[in-house]
Amino acid sequence: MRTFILVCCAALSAGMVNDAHAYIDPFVGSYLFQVIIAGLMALLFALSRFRQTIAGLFERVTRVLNGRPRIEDTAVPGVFPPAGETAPTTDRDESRKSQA
Amino acid sequence: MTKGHIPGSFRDPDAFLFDYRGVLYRQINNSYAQSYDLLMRSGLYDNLVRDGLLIGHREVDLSAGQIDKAYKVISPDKVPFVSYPYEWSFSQLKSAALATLTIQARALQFGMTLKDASAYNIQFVHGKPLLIDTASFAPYRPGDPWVAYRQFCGHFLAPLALMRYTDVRLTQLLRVHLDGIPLDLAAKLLPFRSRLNFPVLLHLFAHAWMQLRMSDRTADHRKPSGTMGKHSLEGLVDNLTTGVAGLKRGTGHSPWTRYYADIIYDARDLEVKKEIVAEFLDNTSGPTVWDLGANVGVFSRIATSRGLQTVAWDSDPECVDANYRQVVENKETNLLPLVVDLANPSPSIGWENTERMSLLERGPADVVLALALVHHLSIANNVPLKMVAHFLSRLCRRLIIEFIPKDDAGVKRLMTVRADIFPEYNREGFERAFRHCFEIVGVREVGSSGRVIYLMANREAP
Repeated sequence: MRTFILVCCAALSAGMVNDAHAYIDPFVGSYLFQVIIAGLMALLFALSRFRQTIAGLFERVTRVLNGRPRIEDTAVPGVFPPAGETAPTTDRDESRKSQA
Repeated sequence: MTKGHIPGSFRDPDAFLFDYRGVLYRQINNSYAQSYDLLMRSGLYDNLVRDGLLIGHREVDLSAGQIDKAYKVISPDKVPFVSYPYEWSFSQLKSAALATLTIQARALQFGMTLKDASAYNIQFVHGKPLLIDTASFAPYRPGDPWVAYRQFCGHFLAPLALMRYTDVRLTQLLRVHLDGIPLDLAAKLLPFRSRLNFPVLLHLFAHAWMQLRMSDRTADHRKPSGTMGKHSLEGLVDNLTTGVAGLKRGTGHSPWTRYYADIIYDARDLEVKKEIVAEFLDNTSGPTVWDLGANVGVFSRIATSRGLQTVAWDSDPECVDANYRQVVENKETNLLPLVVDLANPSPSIGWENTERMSLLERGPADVVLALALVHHLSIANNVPLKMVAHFLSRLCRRLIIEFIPKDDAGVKRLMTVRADIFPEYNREGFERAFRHCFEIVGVREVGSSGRVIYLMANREAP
């Protein structure tokens, strides 16, 4: 509820973001803000996980029915394989040699 | 035996970078021993390095560092070229943001958290964003919110939202605000419709509002109370990831992105030009190339196809973005597109004007390509040819440069409404100006276009 109120305040506060002042540590607001939205974040995360589980289930069923192989990681900027999956390798030994 | 501290790494009391006999090292101080050991033993280091998210390193002899404070001295893998967020395009900043969030999500899985989320800790290596600060991790303490949340929002979310909803050129605000764009400033500059994006509304507008609301409470000097569970923290990172991933770049079009489609000279001449550039590149030595005014990187790729480490500079963010997307799509590893206005290149900024290096400080390159560029500097920006030559001589050892005569359609366009105050702008004047700094090694005419390409050797940097 407090998150809802906070978001409504922000949405309706067009032009009400005032000038920042000296001696203000923005960390304080950021810290408390995270505490306030914690519940909402947990709820959204649970929903996201649930949606992913359902989508994964559908994908698996569809794949089995169609006999299609799994689609591997694509080259979308900034999208990385999840922990535990193999990623493209880079030649680190080569860069070490050049540094030496 | 000098051990030079790298100016950009003085803020962290746990570690610092230094240069010793031309090799870069990072000293891990005793204060960071516990965190460093956890990073290495938990499996997080191996996981991130394996997936190309964190820079690899090897531990070296302690004698290279300051023995009294040193817990370890490590030698990080080499970063071919250091670039800064205000030189990145939208897609590059977005990739760096998503990499940071991926690292934070992984860190939480291994019982750690990112204590910094600075965009300056990310560098593009082999075409991908990579965290270069090994000392950015701290043990996760149950109940703690993300200490780097504000920094992430200022360094990544605010500039991305501004580029998406207001203007792609607003990334240059990062040049003024080194610790990220203040959220209240971003909130003022964003249009109302950006509030319809829930993650932007929450992490930017509501966050900025909360920061200012809390500002009068700092007088009581008490540490803010309240805790945040790990599930919530994972949710925060997940929600930020959704928000950043959902920010799409604008139209992606500018007058320059269609340059080769609307090319103003014969397509056969373009092929001849490519052959000349290839021939001249084969007559140069050294592994680094800077392509100035690279557009979408057509000529940069002639250099990269020869295994040369190439930086493709252009002033148009949309061209740089298109070039970067090609790099990602083709998995190119030796091309780095960056935004720079050569008439006002990246300066030395930060503490004592040394924290972030200027364009000149990051050179010289072995070879500079300056194709279809000089008329923009000389005619559009009124820079005398002699000064153009002097600037380029500070950037490279060898120069491959194109001269475009006044009767070329491109130059005519530049002079449509301006008086011809450039009597020196002709082939003889060009050669005379450049001979002050360069020796002309080769000359080739580009078909029937009237354009001429020169290979030049810097007189002062053989």
